[in-house]
Amino acid sequence: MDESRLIERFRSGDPEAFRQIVDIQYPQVYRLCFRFLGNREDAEEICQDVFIRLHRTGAGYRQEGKLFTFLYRIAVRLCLNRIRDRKRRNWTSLEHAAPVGSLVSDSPDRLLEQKEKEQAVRKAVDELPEAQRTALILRRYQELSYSEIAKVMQCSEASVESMLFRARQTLRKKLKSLLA
Amino acid sequence: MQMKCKDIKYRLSAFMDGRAGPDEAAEIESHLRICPDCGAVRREMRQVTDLLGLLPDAAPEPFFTTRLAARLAQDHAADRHPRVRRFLVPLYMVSALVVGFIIGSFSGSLFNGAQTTSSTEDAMARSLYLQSFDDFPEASISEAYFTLAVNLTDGEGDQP
Ligand SMILES: [Zn+2]
Repeated sequence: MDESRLIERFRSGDPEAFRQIVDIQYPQVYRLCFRFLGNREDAEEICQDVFIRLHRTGAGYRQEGKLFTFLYRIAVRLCLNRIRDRKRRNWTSLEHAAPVGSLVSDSPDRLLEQKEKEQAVRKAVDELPEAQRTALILRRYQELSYSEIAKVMQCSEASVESMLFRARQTLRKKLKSLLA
Repeated sequence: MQMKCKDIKYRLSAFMDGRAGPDEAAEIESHLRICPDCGAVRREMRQVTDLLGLLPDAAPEPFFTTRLAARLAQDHAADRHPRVRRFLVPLYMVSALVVGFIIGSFSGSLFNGAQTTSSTEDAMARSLYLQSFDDFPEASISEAYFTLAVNLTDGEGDQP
């Protein structure tokens, strides 16, 4: 079923349509939240909040472009709020995911080196200004086009170009020691 | 006019994402062939992209719709019964079950007549495999229990 028909059914209060939308959209919304928050519990909770907002919007939902851009926009906002909240409370203990499977057979030294690299990258990304970080995550991990990123972030494609340039520039400088 | 190194470096990010038009792309390509400085920047940008791949992905957890349905039902119950909600806040889980039962049967009989017909939210929650939730009468023990669960998590994870 195409998306606009599904959305029509959702707007008219069809619960099955809502369930289908959740099934289709959940994996990517969850991944996006996890990219921002780096821990599963928070990603799950924010992800639920995103769909609860969609649910509350109900008949009031006005389709402008793809549904995922609407969901991503809410997700980004909620994730950034959560991160600000953490900072206010001096939250430090990032759980950050399970070990990467392919590294299991590597030597302990190499694992440690890899872990350190990963932490350096994580830190550099986390320190990017919010807009740049958002553009980068949407591009690098969610693999959105510039025009999709512009829709999510409600800005021009030229702004997206500029944000991505600055994000990559900053990362290039901060991660200099890791570059060959 | 020829692009200078500064312009090239600025455009590299978009160029590497395939955002340059054919003319611009050709100009950048030919510049990169003769300018080691800009060539090095491109190499480093590629490496940065690779480094970003080190950050772990998380596979989505199964049964999300079921958990979401439970949240929707909780929120819905809390919205409908602020009185029950307020009463239950300070109580511990076990005692709340007992008290909740008493309050539940009391307010249940109070609210029975004024109960609205099935709203869209009820239907949504039902469709998300929560039929059994609606099998209980209004403000019954199960609803009080859900309300308590909401109250217990209030203030920890809620959005500002
Ligand atoms: Zn140059």
